[in-house]
Amino acid sequence: MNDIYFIGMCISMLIYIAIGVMVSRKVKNIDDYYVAGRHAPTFLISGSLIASYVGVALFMGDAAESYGGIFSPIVFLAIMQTAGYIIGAVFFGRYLRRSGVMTIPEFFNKRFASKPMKVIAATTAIITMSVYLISIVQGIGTLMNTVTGVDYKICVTLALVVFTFITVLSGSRGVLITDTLMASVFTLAMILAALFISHRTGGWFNSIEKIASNPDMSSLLSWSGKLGVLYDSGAENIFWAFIYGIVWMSVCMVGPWQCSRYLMAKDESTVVKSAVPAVIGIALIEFLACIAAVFVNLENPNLEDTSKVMIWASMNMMPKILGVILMTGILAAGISSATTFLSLVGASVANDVLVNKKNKIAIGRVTMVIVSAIVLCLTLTNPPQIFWIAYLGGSIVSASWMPVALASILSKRLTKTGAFWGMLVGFVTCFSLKLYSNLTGITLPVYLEPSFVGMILNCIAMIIGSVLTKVTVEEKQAREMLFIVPDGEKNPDSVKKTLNVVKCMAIIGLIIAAFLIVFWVYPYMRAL
Amino acid sequence: MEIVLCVFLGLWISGAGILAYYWIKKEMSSYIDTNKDKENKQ
Repeated sequence: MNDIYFIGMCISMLIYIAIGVMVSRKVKNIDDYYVAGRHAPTFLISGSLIASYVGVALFMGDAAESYGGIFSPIVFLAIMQTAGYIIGAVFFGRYLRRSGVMTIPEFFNKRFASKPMKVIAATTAIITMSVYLISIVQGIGTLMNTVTGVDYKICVTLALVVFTFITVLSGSRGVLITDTLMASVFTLAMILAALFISHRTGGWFNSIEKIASNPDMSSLLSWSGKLGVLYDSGAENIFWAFIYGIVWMSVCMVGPWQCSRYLMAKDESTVVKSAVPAVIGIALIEFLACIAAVFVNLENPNLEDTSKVMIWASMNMMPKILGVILMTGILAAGISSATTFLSLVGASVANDVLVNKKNKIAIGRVTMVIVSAIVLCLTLTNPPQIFWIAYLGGSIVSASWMPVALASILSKRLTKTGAFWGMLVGFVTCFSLKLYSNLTGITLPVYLEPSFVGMILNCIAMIIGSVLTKVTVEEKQAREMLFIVPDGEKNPDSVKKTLNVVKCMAIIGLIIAAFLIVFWVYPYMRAL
Repeated sequence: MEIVLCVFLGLWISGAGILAYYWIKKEMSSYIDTNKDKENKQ
């Protein structure tokens, strides 16, 4: 057993539990428990957005793909998706918050005056988040087992007990605080890790030049990536990245584990402002994790299990203390995502499924414990399939939720029938194609990517359903209500500040492009 | 080609920012204008 890593991980988990216990004392009512009292500031919303997005799949999946040769497509899709935070906050998050609901399925119910809409939204959300939770727990178990040498089952059980305890006790308020703390830990850990790894391989720019000038490695940082790893041509690789960029952008826009954070924001300005740190934070973490994994090739190009590239780097290329910080940071990323997913499943069952029950906090807590027990059983009885399940979750959200969520705000003609069939067709299409592809082992052509096909069929079903039926008075009024600006949001100074923040996003896009050119493209092209 | 990707990403995020700016401006300016109208009427 690798004692120091195990001790480090246990200490970090104890800290998160202690915070959970402290926060739980402030939970006084249902709003506190499920939507953090609806007065969370920008830094907590941003922290939770980052923490619930960044999970083990990033540090073990995206890093592994970059190490294996497709750095450019991965970074392309990862940065492309961050635009979803701006679009999601402005075109969906503000209206979601304005509706005053507790969960997103409740929003669809209110918007379309339709219980079937709530049922299908709640069902897809609960299924997606539960399976996603399994992938996160499997990822945490694999990470802890590899690093510490402690039995996989013990690791899984330990992590599950910790995040269940935090979530059940402190609710969304505790999740926001622990998420933000964990996001700070893994962001700092990743920055330090990338600097140390590049230092070990000869310095940042020198490492890029070494890779570029080595004929066997130069494709690792090229625009096309290493051909054959994903597809046989660079154009196909970038097209794949573009499709997945849209898919994950949809997740950032309307994914329940992302936009539910906006329900907790203290005002609409906070919703919009929180998008800025989320864009910068996720773009930075993705870039650093991926390029650090590419640098590892200079030290060890023959790792058998590429998913463990960051674990190998932390144990072999960094000072021990920094390795421990990075591993606890990755663990934090996994636990923070798990707390968000578990709290959302509990909230959805208590508010959307068992609507008429009185003690919703107790129901939510019991649900979370039951879901955790089921997740534990499924995790222990199934082999780890971290990335397949994680990608399935993202794909389903983009195929079933994204078109309906945006159209529910932007379209006057969308009816409940159109929305219902759109969501159902998107879900069934994406799920079936993914299942078929995985069961048969057949790789579908890039243009038949399940989420992409699901999104298109979703839109077609929405249009047909809306053409065949008429918008009712209730639906019309529900949509009009969303466009009534609340009194608290009418302060001209606050509006001006919000507009300035959004204006900054236009500049931040250019800064990100310049950053990529300076820290990747220019040194790479100079050495070719 | 790598530069093209970077420029595309920059414009993609900037484009989202510009779109969001005009949407909020359109929605909120009508409120601010109404206030000005009220002030003028008074």
